[in-house]
Amino acid sequence: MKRKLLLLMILVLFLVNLTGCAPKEVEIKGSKLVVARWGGNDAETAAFNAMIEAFKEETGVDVEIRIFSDYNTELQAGLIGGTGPDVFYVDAYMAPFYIQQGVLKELDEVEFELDKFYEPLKNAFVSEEKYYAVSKDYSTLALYYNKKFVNVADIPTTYETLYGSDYLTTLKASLPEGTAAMTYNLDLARQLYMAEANGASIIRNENFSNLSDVAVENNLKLELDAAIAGKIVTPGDLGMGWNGDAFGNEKTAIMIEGNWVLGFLQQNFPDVDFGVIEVPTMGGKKGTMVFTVGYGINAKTQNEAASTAFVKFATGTVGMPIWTTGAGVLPSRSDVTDATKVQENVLLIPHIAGAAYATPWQKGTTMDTINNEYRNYVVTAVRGETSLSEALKKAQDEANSTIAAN
Amino acid sequence: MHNKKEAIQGLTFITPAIIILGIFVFASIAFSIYISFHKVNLFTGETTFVGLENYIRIFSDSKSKISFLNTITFVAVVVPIQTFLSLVIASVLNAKIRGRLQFRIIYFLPTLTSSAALTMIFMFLFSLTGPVNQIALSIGLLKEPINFLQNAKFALQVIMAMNIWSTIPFFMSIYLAGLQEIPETLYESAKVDGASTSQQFFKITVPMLKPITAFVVLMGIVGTFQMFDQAFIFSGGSGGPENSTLTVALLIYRNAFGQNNTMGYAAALAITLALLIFVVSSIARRINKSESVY
Repeated sequence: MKRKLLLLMILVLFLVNLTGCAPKEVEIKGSKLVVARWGGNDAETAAFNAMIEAFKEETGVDVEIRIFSDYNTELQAGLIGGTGPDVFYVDAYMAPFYIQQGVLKELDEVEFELDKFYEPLKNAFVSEEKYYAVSKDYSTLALYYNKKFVNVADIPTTYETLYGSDYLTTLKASLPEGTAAMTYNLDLARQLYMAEANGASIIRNENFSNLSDVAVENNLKLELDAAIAGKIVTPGDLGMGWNGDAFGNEKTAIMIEGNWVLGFLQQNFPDVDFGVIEVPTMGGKKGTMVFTVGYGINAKTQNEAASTAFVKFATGTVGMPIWTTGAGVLPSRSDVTDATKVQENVLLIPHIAGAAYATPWQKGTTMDTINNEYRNYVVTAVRGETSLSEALKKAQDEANSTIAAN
Repeated sequence: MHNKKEAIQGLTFITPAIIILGIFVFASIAFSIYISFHKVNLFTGETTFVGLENYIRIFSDSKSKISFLNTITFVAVVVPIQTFLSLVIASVLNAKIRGRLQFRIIYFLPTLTSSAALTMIFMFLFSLTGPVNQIALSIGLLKEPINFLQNAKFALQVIMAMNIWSTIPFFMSIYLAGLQEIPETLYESAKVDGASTSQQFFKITVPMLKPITAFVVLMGIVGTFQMFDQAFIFSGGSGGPENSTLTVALLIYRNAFGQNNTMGYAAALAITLALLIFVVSSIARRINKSESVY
């Protein structure tokens, strides 16, 4: 009896010792981390899984991947209900909202080596000089042209000439029946850099729509006048879902699209011979849009150490190349850009060049409302039912009445 | 003694259902009503009592006006057509024609397909280069193809067509069941009196099916007022083009999630919609009842 008691005591002591005095490095080993993302294509899924495997091997942390199809809705429901993931994708566009709600943990600039990241990408997740997510990759817009229809030397390098001259009209006349000269998108996600050219701002008083501002109107007028004149059309006008489909099916000769279209074109339309150049300048200045997604850590996570380790790994020099080379996306760090030699791909050069001067697709917490009204009302101006200034005024007033009521 | 035992037994059986309904239905309804009078931030858990402000906003918000108008138009077109057509198809399939079982199965298929998949198929059918435009062009019905999906005049109509097409089979099968209950003798005596087929349909079939029609109309009203999935997929969640597919349910969703975070207003909209459905269905029931044969 006494011996049994002694044995038990030794066992208890041993267990206490094991759990109590474990060294700090071992702490995250064996812990379980939940990472949430949205679904991607096969290449993206494979690259992501490979990166997770590498992380598991290095740290011994078990990772559960959660894929949300209606991403922001499911994520918000999880965060509100207290069952949110530890680490999750944060679209730069939604970042101000999540930061404002306080669901993201503040990240240390030095610990996450943020000085290695391209400036616009680093700043996409900043609020009051504090950082809340680390960019995992990025995409920029560039001009794609079909070599069968277009001679690259002829493409005007300024928007003023491209839309102002009769280049597109002449081009259209040389194209087969049913093929447009150029497609565009009636969406501020694609037009923000134009709207805000020459110091204009589409937002005033922090979150109110300023679309009807004279400077903004003049900026947008360039592209929208071309649309009203029928020189450019939307993919929807051609009965196509998006630019990639329209361009691949040779329904348009020129489009402005993000680098995600590259893999799509090469895979689905291998016969289409195309080239990529930088977006035309406006007012003598280069501009384009940049889209980025980062990893954020749930402010309420129980696994802070493991979460931090994961974000550092995934956005570091080991994890990022696995993801970017596998998924065919652009690395957010300049050192990874050099290491993975993405600059050797001629088609990617214009996209990488854009990272230096691009406008991030992000503008406060009310962009959803502002852009929704913009798309709803400006289309009437393109159809010629109202004037552009009336449509912009309507879009601005509608958005602002909603924003004021919220 | 025996009674008490029985009562305990009964209570035990219904307890699980009461608990589940209590949490997922009654508590949720109570919580929705509660937050509809508040300005809420579910992330931080802050709630501020604002009285009727959310409800008053429904009347001043131009979006809600558009969405209620869209929804009411949708109901007014879809419910009568789907009810009438399912009755007609049911009586045709009830007639002694060859291969009626096969027809019943074929007609029932749309109900088994998910509405998300149906929406994608309809978007293909009505696209600029899709079959509907091609056929209309080739038989000379149209001179130029119509961009049904991008044109605000047509977008809601495409969804209406889709909804009618996909809900008819379900209501048809309910009508078919009802038709079995009508005594054959009624038709026989009508024939003896020299009633034509259409007279038999309108004087016997339609009145005898009154209770079934009441159910079909009610389910139709509830289903169409709450239409969300088709509009959501069709417009990618925006309610476009030009707010033409913005339904009340979609507006609720847009206010509850995304960047808006106005759960209180969304709850107020949901409760108003529930009240509207309640009022409209009571009116429909009353109209139907007053002419009942029973």
